Amino acid sequence: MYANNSANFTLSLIFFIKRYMKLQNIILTFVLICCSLSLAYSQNAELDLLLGMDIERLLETKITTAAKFEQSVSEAVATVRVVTARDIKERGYQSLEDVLRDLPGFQFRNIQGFNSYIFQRGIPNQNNLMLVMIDGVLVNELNSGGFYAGSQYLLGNIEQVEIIYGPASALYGTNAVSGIVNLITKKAEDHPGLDISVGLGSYNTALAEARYAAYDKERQTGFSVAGRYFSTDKRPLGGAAGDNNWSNNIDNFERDFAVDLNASHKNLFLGFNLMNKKASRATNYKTTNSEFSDQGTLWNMLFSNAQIRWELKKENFSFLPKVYYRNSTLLPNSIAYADSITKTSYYRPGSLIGADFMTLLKIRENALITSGLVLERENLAEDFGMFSFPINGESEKAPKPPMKSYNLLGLYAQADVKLLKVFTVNAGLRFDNSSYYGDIFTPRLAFSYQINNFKTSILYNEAFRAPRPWDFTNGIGNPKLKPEEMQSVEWVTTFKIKESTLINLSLYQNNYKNLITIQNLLNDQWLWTNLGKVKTEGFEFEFNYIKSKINAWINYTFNFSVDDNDSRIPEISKQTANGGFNHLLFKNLNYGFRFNYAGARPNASLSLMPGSDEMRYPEIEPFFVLGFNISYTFYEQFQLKLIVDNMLNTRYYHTSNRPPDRYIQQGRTIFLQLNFHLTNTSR
Amino acid sequence: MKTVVQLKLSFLLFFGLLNTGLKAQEASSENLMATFIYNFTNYVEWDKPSSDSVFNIVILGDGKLDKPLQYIASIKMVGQKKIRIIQSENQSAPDQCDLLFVPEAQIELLENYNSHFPEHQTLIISATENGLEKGAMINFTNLDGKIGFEINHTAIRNQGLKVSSRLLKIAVKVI
Repeated sequence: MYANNSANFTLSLIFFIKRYMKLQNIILTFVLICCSLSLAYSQNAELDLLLGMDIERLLETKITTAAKFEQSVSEAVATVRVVTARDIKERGYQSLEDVLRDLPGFQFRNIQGFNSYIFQRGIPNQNNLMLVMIDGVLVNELNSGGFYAGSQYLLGNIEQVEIIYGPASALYGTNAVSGIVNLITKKAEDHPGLDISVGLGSYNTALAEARYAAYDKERQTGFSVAGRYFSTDKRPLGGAAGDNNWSNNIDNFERDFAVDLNASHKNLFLGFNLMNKKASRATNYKTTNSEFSDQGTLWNMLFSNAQIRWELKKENFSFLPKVYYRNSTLLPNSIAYADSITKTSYYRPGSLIGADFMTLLKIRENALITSGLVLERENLAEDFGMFSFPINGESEKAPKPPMKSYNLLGLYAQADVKLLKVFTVNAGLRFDNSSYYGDIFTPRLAFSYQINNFKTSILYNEAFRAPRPWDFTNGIGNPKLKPEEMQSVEWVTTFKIKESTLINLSLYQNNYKNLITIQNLLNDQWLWTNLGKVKTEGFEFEFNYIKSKINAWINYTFNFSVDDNDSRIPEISKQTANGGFNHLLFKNLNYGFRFNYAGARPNASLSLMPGSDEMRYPEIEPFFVLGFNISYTFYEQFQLKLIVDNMLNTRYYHTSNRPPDRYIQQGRTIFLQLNFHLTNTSR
Repeated sequence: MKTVVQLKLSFLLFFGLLNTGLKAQEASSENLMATFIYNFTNYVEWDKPSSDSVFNIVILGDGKLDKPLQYIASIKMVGQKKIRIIQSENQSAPDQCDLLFVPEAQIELLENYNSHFPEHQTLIISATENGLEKGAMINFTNLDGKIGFEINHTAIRNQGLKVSSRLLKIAVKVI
């Protein structure tokens, strides 16, 4: 497979050179300069130099902000919040939604089925306005551009999750509209040893997770392997329990499987991750009094990513080339829907091969330049492969749909320049040339003022979501279809007290226009067109206190989103709040509480289906949900953990954009988890 | 074509900037502190070490110093002893410890450690405001972008450790 990929990549490069003859000088210049600057050096050159100094000279050595130079590109773009491995472990997070639910600015539409939808900063969408990455490589589904929420992420192997707020297309291109979630895996050298977790809980929920990592410091070589199995039958939704939307025999499950493999040798890194999410699709349609059946469906998504990354870092310069392969395939045994007579299987493969040549350069003491070249070739299904077969007959796989290839060239550059020690100017520009959506320039500009632990910044960002290839041709077709565009202004102020207390206030205004919308014409004809916009204003306030024995947080978000008629955007609450703490009561006993609140939200079905029977709930009521966790560590390596979600058994709902017109959420769940951790302390 | 020309100019300008010269001598705070810690072992004398063959440095919590100290341990020795770096993530006290580094986030745990090593001597180093008052013997400070350190000479003596006058002389503060 890798040989084929390598050949594919070479062919892709040749194709690019041919396709972009006009740009070849730029590419060649770029590569030559990068190569000339990638000088041989020692990773520990700085330490070698320091060890050669006497102690008086050490006292005269100035501190660089290493984090600044080594910061991920994303950190320079906008407000960044981090969820650490400690947060994941202490609070018992099991899914991507869990990771994001205690942060400001997020709202959810969990349909309790094959997927759930995450809205960042007030724009409902099909998960296609955010990018989700593992170690910097996207895991958004290739055909739709939307990511999958759920429990298929190997959270026990995550060092931290970086969440970027606001548009970031100036560095990441299409779909980086609301923000970015980057899951960063644990490095073998930082976390060698063995970890095993098993758990059981409500709704037949089961977890098994294991990780092993080893690192040889003399050879500077290491590897880690991790696996996860997660299974749940979810809340029973049959009959009255599901508000009479589904039959008593509804099957509703999620079975996830994931593998991470990472290896490193000196500055060379190899990573592979595979995620399989199998879930029933029964809740997609109301089955009571409808033609649909809520039994026998299956949405079987397989994601696999591979990357080779090379890091050349010296005092003032880093060259970080990366080659990656992505595959996201809806497997052909998926059953998208069933009725009383037939089942219909779906198949939709998609793959991408790409390269990102990124450089970071520090000039004198006050400038950091980030730049890069991105080349990608994706092979997408033009539509779903579909096959319908009798419900009582043998299960039939869907045929492979016609495939088509598309190419992308991206060039980005960004400069951070410090002035008078306290001001920073940040300017960036990205150019994208796609074989199906053409040329797009995306700029950004930011000013910040920082003195001691106080920092305030004004950010201007743009972003876009390109149409999918078939959007240009569906219906009667619309070759003039443009990308959706976002312009965003944000003022963010951060105040830190003694490294333990963080206070953050963000005010933002986003204008999202050219929404890609279906337009019905006469004679049953239709097309995709750019129609409508969303204007969003809001602020996020957060307070975090982190010490060795206590980790406390509270945040509040006000968000007001309206369309071009000044009508409120459905599914978005004006107010949300989250808070909680974990406290190390004794040496071995840790406990914590947490809460999530969302105000009332207009229901989407009201606007989609005026006059229909599904207008019972024009507004979804507010909710307040309380959670609790407690863990006890014994024999140093073992930890027993109890997680209670929705401990008051609050009956609450999420919005919907189709019948059924609201989705009941999980009741009280209890989950018992046993963790085993064995670290090689002597390395 | 105009776009291509613009791009060429942008990138030539950008890469032209690359040749404006690189400034050097600075170091990350992690590398600096790790080097200081190693240097301290040359200026402090342990009469009752935790081991005859290995010098044990313990880092409390998820310290950022682990990586540079691991590197130092791979190429340096304390006297005739190899250096062993122990990262104590589970917040429990290790049995053998000659030098304990307590990051700011873990400083509250220091109270558990002060009376924990009756069998041998432990030099406790911190990097936080009022670190000496919280039980550290040497505490890193940040002065105008440079790392300095202060010493609680009384606490060091009470532990039975001997500290060189050269170290006392260059400390920012000695109590």
